[in-house]
Amino acid sequence: MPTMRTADTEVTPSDSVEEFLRSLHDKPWVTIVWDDPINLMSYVTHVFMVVFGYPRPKAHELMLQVHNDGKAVVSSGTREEMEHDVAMLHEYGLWATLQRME
Amino acid sequence: MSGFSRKRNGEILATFSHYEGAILKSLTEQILELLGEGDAPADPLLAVVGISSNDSLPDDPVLARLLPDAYEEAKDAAEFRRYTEHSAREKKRAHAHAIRDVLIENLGDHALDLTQPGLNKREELHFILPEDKAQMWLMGLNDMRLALGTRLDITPNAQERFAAMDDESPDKGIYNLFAWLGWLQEILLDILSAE
Repeated sequence: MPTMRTADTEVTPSDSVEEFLRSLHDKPWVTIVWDDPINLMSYVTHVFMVVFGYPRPKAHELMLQVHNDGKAVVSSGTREEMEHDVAMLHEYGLWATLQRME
Repeated sequence: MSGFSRKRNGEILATFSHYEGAILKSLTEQILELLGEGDAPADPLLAVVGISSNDSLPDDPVLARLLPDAYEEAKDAAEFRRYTEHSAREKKRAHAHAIRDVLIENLGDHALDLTQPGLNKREELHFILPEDKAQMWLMGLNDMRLALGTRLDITPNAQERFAAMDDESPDKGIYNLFAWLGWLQEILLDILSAE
């Protein structure tokens, strides 16, 4: 098996894959969208599609969750990524906040 | 019929009366003025990198809705706002400018001046809404709805509340405008998602 040599350690590709997979689970921050009485349902769905690239069924389902439950987690990732997502959602006029995953 | 439609060649055709065009233009100007209020870059150097001295939710409920907190926790919200509020205002100003500029470029200031003698305010005007401006229009129309809706204290049962209101009431007029903007937004969304 080929190995990659860094300054002081040897890393096998399988280690890198494990690390990568672990990083996928290591997403301790979430973006939450809150229900508001002004934004149109069709507009909220559209924003989830444009901002996150979600397919329409997923965007629609998230919109319904916001509408029915009062809020929904719409993305997760690092704090910096979530700050970016929240700023984008604010630009579109959605009411969004970020927080540590509960 | 005012609004938007897709032409056979794929272009977005916008149709507004002089009166509707003038209202839209005036709304963009009100939004631009509102977003300029209290925009406080800390000092010229910090302004270059977009840092503002504002760190709390604006007192005006409309501005507070257009520029909401990013964190529920006050200290984090203040910190985030200091670094982002100025650029958030600039982005919203760009939406309003996109609507205003397209109206003026295509229709001319003259057509949007309702004080001209003999003007038929209901006469319909047509222009092509450039595809790359459509998203900005969508966001700009939404900013207007957020502003008017917050002023009107829109709640889920708003429709019944305003239907019962006297036609002479000023709030009823604003509500009709709010409803019209929602209708425009729906049409534009329909056109954009039909692709």
